[in-house]
Amino acid sequence: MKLPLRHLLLSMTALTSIATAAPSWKVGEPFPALSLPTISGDDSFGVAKFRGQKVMLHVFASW
Amino acid sequence: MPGWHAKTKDLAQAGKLQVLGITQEQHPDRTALFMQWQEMPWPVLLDSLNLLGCKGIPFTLLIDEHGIVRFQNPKDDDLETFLGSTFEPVKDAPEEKPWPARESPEGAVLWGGDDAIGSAVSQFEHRVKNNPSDGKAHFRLGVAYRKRYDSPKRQDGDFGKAIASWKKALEQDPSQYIWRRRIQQYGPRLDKPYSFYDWVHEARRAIVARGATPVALVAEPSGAEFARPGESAANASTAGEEHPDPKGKVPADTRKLVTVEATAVPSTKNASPAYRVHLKFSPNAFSEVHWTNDAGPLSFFPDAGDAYVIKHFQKSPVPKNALTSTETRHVEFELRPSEKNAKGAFPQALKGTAYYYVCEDVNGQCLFLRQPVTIPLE
Repeated sequence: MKLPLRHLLLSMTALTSIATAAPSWKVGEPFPALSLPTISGDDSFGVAKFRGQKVMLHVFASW
Repeated sequence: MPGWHAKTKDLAQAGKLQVLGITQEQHPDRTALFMQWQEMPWPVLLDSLNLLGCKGIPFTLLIDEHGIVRFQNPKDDDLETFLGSTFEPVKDAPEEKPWPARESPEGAVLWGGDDAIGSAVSQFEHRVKNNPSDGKAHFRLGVAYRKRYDSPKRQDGDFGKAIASWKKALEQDPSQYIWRRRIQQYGPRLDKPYSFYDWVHEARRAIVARGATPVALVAEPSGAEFARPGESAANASTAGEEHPDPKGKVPADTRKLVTVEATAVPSTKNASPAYRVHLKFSPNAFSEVHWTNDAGPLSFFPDAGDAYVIKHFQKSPVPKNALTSTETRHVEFELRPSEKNAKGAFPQALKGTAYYYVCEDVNGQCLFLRQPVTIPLE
């Protein structure tokens, strides 16, 4: 899982941008009940599907 | 994120952690190709409409067994603490109903398929008309236009309308980086914070080398979406190409055997006007028009005058080993303010002329035609 250095640098650039952004959720509060299709389009669900489990959620884009 | 994947792969396999993604891209198939390339098997949800409302990416959240966010951008220690803790539910927290509704225009974009996009577009158009300062509605309308542009239901001007909608959204909230990126993706190279899809070719090569078939893309990334022109499918050429019609004698394509869609995507920086121009040439399917490849390629000559200089000109290559073909052809280039343009006056439109060799029907007449093209510049 070795990624080129530029990917790492790019992620860091993008990270600096969220410092100024107001998030639509807060630590200590429920994550929104957003239900969305999967990228393959063959299923739809939200974080609630995993109630009872611990979840790591990555919000990202491939660019 | 691939870094986290390496660290959490075993935890996920052991059932101790559920890994989940939400992508903020217009095209879900591009995320799917990325996941296939990186061999990351966890589920990813599509948030092309930015319903989550995040203004930047990437970021990572740790969400507990009750759905409560416990960490944002955790460190390794935080993950350990998170996994080792038993969390209490938030008292008296009302359970939010899942959204968006399938019958909403958001639902139509996400689940409705090609047939539902038209209705989503009309509903979002209505929403922005009633509330012109609703940036979210403008952004979502742009996503719907672009989705229709990529579908068989495409209407003239859809791509240009998507860009105009995203610009209006950004005017309402200039700090919204997800909205800004959606314009920059198609915009001039000097406006790009980084390459968008240079990884696509590397990904395909790696997947094929593993003996697998890469996820097919609905819309191949345009030349604008690569930082290195050599990585795009198009040829960088033109300057120096001999003008086929210096005396203006080539007949015009008055019957529109080829239709042209012209979209100029502006830079998101307002300091100086710069554009990425996207031209799309489609042979008229109704009269079975086809390119005659052995006669010569399509060419386009922009008349930039003294106002602009042309940079990064690219056009689709002619298919090899095919005497005739009917594919859509693309021409892309960038407009930058010219140093000669001392007065700083910029025209509202750029004119240019396309030349192409086409035949009508299977046994029809073959012609060399020109088509004047006007590209509106905001």
